[in-house]
Amino acid sequence: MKIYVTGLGLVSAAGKGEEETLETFRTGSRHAGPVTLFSSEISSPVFEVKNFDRHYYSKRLRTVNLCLAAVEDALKDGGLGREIKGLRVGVALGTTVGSILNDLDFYREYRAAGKASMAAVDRYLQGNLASIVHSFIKTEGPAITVVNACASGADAVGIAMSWIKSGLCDLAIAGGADEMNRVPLCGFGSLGILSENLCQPFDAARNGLNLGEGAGVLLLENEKSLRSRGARVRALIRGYGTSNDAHHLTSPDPEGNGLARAITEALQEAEIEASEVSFINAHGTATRDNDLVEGRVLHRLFGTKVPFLSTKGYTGHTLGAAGGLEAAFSILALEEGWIPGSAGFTDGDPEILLAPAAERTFFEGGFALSTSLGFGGCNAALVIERPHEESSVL
Amino acid sequence: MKPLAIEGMGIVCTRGRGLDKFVQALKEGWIEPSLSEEGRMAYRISQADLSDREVLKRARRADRFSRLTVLAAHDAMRDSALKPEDAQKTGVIVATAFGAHGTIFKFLDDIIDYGEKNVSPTTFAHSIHNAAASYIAGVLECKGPTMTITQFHFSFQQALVLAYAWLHEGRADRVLVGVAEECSPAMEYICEEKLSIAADGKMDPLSFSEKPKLVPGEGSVFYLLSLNQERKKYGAFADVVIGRRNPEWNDLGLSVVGAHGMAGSERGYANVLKKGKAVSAYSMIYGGMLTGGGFDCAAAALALKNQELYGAGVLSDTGFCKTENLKAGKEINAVQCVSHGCDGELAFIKIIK
Repeated sequence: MKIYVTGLGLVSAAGKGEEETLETFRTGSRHAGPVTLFSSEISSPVFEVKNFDRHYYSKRLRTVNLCLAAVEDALKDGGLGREIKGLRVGVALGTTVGSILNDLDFYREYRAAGKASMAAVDRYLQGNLASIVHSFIKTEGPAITVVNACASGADAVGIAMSWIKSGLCDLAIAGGADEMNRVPLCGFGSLGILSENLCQPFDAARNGLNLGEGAGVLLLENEKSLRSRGARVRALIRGYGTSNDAHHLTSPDPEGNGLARAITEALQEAEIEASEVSFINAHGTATRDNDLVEGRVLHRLFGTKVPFLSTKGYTGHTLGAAGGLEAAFSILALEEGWIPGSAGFTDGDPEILLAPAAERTFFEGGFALSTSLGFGGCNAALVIERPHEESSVL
Repeated sequence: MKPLAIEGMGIVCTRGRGLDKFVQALKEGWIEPSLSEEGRMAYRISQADLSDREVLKRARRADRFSRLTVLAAHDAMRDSALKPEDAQKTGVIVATAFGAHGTIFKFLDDIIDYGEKNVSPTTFAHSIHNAAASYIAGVLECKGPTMTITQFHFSFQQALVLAYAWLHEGRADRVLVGVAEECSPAMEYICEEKLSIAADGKMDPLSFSEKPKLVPGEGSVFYLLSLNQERKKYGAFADVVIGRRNPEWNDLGLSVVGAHGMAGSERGYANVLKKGKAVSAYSMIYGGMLTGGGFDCAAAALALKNQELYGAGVLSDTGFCKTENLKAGKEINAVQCVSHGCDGELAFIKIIK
């Protein structure tokens, strides 16, 4: 069964929407700076979404508003309004901080006085992304908020694909969203993997990641739904692979066997060979371990001829949003026929055996691979195809 | 939906670890909840029930939430007698409403006490929602898809739907599906503020009250599922319906009501149950949890397997319920577990023999 992408919505430091994002990718500009959304002792640069003014709910988490902006844009792009009636619609959305009650002010007050205002609790209880989007679009169907750490967004797209293939829904909203938040900032700092400078994915001098925020959402549907609506096809999700390293809570398997299994599964489901992949949008966080393991796996499976990049140099690591955003970026690249230079990269790491595209690179063919790795040994891979001309409008 | 055969089950709750203790609790009914230092009632799990050096040797540093989750998942796998070499393509789905909030609050303690730059990386790693699933994968060598999901009301039901999709697609040969929740002082305070706590410690789930009272609970239950009907040990999940319609299955021998006191008025249950049919509820055994549906299904699956209607010391007799343990008068072939969310949505799970 074919799974079509008919709408995209994306918000990140690289841009609010497709045009701004493509302009960022063309120019190679990087919109990072110190955290401004809250005061912090941590000085590592972050990629915030500046001048974000789409406040659907004033008293809810920023993650919710980022998510709804991307959902609304994806629906609009797919020719649908806010309300979808008469279709079975699944909602699978990934997040990390959007699912955790980690409000420091609430907890400080509770700890000091044994009681606290419930405002933060209410915000949290009204922050389940899949539930909110379901009520936003006023429809029924499967709904899951995926909390699989940094692989959440890609897994959400894979889950939506599974639902459609299993006949559980005709159309699905899938991706992820996360806001800049103190807890992961402190947590990643404690792990020693925040860079004090702009991140340098796959570079020999890389020394850690920068956090980011945003939302990336795809509208997926089956052929029946597509034909009934006469929608425009922007891409096809052809394969999804997911695996667990069963190795360590925070470190990837040094051999990358889990990631290799996820990629192989995705290629098999897509029924393509590794040589048919036109480019790879790698997870590429710019930590020593991630990039080493991921780079070696890509070298093992694809050799040196497939161009690859990390877009985290433009967005920072957006955690639960990353997989959704990077799937959307991959679709834009398939449409444009080029990938941007991997921002922050200048010198190859001889241990990795591969170097990402340092500048804007044009490619042949129509398949992209997008990979995501997460805490807990989670690996996810998506194979995305550019539609053939004859199927682009059904 | 092709039935999802239940090959094994594992459970950890306030009444102890293991199916035997759970069945015993279903027969015995209510016991008094424990009191915290702050004087709050909850159905907590004893530390002794979370200690197992052999099973947890690869999870020595795991927090409370991960420990109880790993133990339930491990026991489900052991109960199935699945050979370890056959577990490689086993998927894992952990469904939780609130995750490891005890650890999250501990991390916030670190920030307050030591500053943002001096927090514990171990605490941070365990505060992430999918840490428990990662431990399960490591302990049980499950290298298939591993997912952690959270929906406040229907996490378990949605997890079953996802398990069905994975098995249907062949993405996994088997799936370990379970729920997990924990108690913590801050969450017990939140429950007290947001919900009605039963002052006498007695939940009364079959009173179908406008303002139900609860005692918060914690625990984990796991099911090893496959499409191989020959391996089913406790029946099979035959259908999951989520939405606003009542599926009105006609072959039910028992309905288990998921009245956990956490989703507002429980009056709606009366509209979806048939008088004269056996109805029960068991939240007074393990306490109120948003993912309590997972525990309700364990009670239902055991009723099917053992052909017993567990009375569980239900307090109210509303005309629906059985108030004593009975051997089934006639064979029970199907049980439904029904839950509702805050906005009127309903979820029905059908389990067949």
